[in-house]
Amino acid sequence: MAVFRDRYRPIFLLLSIFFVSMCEFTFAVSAFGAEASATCPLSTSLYQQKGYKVRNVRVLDPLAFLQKLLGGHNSLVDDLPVQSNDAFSIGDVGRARRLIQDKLDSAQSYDQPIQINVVASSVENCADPNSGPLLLDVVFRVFSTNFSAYLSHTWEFTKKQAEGEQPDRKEKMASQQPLVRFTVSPRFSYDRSAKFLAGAKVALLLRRGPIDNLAVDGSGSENANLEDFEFGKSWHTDHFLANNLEYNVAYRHADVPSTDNRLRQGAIEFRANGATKPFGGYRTLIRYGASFKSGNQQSDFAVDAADESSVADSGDDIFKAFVGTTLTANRLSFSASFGLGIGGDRLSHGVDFAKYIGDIAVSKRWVPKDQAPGEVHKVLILEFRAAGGIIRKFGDVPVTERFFGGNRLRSFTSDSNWEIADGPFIRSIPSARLNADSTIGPIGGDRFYSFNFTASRPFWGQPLLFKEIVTDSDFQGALTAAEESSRSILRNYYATKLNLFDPIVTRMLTTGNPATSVKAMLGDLLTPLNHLPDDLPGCTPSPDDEESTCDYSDQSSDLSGNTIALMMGPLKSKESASSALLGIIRGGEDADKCGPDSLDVCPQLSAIRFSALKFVGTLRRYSDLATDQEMKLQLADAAKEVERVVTAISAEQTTLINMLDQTDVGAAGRLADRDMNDVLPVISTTTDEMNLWAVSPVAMFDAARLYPDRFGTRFGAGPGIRFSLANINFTAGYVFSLNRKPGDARGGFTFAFTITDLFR
Amino acid sequence: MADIDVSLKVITGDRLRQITIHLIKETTGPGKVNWTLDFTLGEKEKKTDPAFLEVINLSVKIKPSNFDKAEATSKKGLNDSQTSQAFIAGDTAKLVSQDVIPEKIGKTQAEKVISVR
Repeated sequence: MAVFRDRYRPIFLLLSIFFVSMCEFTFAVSAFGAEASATCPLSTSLYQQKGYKVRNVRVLDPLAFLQKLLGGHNSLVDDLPVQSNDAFSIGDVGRARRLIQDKLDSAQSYDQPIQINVVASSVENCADPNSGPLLLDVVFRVFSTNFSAYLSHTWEFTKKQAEGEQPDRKEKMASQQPLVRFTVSPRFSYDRSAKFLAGAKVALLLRRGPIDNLAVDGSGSENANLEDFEFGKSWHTDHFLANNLEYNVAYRHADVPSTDNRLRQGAIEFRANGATKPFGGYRTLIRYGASFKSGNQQSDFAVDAADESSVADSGDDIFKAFVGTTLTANRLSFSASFGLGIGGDRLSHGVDFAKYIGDIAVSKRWVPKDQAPGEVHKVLILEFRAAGGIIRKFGDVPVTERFFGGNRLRSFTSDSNWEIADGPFIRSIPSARLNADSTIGPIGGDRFYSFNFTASRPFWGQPLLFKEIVTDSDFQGALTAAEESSRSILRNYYATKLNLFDPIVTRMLTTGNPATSVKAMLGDLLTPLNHLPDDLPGCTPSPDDEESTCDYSDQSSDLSGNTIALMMGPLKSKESASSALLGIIRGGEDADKCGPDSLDVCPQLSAIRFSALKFVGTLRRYSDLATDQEMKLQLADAAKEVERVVTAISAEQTTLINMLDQTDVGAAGRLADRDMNDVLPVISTTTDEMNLWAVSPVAMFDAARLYPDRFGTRFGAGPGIRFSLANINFTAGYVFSLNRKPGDARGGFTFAFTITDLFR
Repeated sequence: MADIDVSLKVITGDRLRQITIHLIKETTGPGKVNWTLDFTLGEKEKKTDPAFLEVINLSVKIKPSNFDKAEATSKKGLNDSQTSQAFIAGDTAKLVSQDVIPEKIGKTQAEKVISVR
């Protein structure tokens, strides 16, 4: 059974996606679905007959930018057999279409067993035959499902991939990935504390061995410098508890200002974390991890630190454990993370403090009901984040482990894919400037909370799908086709997986009971056929087959072939019989039209029965014509035996259909519906939400509180602008301090790089 | 009239077999189209082999009487009997590649994915 599942699940999935492809297929057909377009009113073949030439060749691929990111097909136009100034030829266009298809096919998926590519061709902008040169444009429209692999990961794994710093194993066959890839990412940022911080990250991506990424990251300014060296590896597995595993070893050094203080750290850190597979109706997943850091830390203001049971210059060991969850429902994403750290000067000397952190993030998307086709999707996105933490002191706390707030989020996990706020985040205050200076000196606090709101709504951009596609009247029909096909395929898969048809297929395949075994009956059918002569003297061709030389041998060959195909194919195992059951015994909606002259609508058993009965008639006819008595008798006996088996198969087929009608397949339907709840949002997101690019105004509001701080809670608000490329967002803005206190700046610039998790 | 080529490629769970289905609709003249189903089975001996070797390719011209069903499939989706027939066609293609049965039978079963609707 396990082998069957391994083998056939991808086929079910293929068919699941097939319906999607049908959807895409209809997209394309619909886009050119009319016999005549506005710019090319004639049938395509007439343009060839009239001697039109090609003015321009275009390949339109809405996801070309992603393919380029993935190292896929680049300029397809240059290699096509259709070029500008060529005589227009339907044959050349067909070859070009196939060439594009081959190129798409060659972009082999790795770890993703299904790939759907759609290529449609059409002619556009055809010149009026009565005025000027006969020219037209040839347009190829391309759609590949590969994009989903790029964009639909759980968001925990997307950020590094989007930054190009982590290989995406789902995109390519291992053999097609380079052994080593080298990336350089320049970095620039500004805030009032660190000033202009410039640097670069140099990363090596390795395909084999215990390390798949190695990076050196350095940046500096007149006020600050940060250096990291790190390496690690990640794995994707099929295990529920370890769908993703990752380790990272790093040496990090930082020297950053905090008002008049300086926070300096140098430490080696080992981190391991993982995540479960998504489960349940809300696609919940659990993340977990732990790290150990050991190093040294220095800061100024030793006396102030000592007054707060803290130490300005010391060793700095901390063990951290963190756990979190994310879930999604109705365009709402929720994540919560909790972290625990225990540390001290040296952990071997005892625990000096414990740190508790909580971080909750919620984002909600509202899609306008009435969206104009071809216009940017003006989806309102509201993001909310709340974080808080507390330090319990048992001895002296290293100052750099205390909480500092500002517009640079310090992550408890040191993992850009999983950020847990290790201090208050407020975008109106420069980094580490919220530090208890007004009360105890700039040595940080021991408790905090912060809230952050961000709202955005695109006003300019381009939707992912062509206007021609979404405005077509058949578009919604295509989506329906996609949904219904998928449900059918999943129902079939789960019916087999749950053994719902087990009594039926067991009955069919148990050859030890020839009275009920269809497989045994088919074997009985073959027996007389195997003893008949290959040819008969005086045999005449089949009247409905031009290539036929002998109706007897044709019918015998077809009947034997179909019987063997059924026995050795679908009936070779319970699993294959179960997945093919409907096609074997009952057929489709037109099964009632099944007959000797319409075998293509028949279920397999009926087709074999009608073929066999036709052969029985042929045998009897040649028996009557035979002059050789032995031959006459052999043919007559064979006809009798075949007829007997056909009668038995017919009776048994009726029994099997009755059994099938009484089988409760509700469980398979429910599981199919559950899976569809994952699929449908992808379709609606693609059609209703996803923009190729978009520009959005952004509104931000923050509140943050650090203890002790005599000025209480700080508030900030301000505008920004967001540029989005698919679901990758770059946001820049300025947030004003709403209750500015002595020493506070008027506000702060903020820059952010985020991923909108559209497909979960 | 649009010409279109839909490619459906699947790699089985054991990563040893790859099935590719091309569904092609081509204009042949004013108001005339052809539908073709191109079915390819590829295999490799080991998962680590770099490429699938083509075992068999079946090219099936869909009968005009089934054009409506091909269109309907694209608009209403695969129904349960078509899904079931797709598995039968896959198993049959493998037998064709092994010369157990004639190619004609493999093509008939492939086209039935549309006609059993």
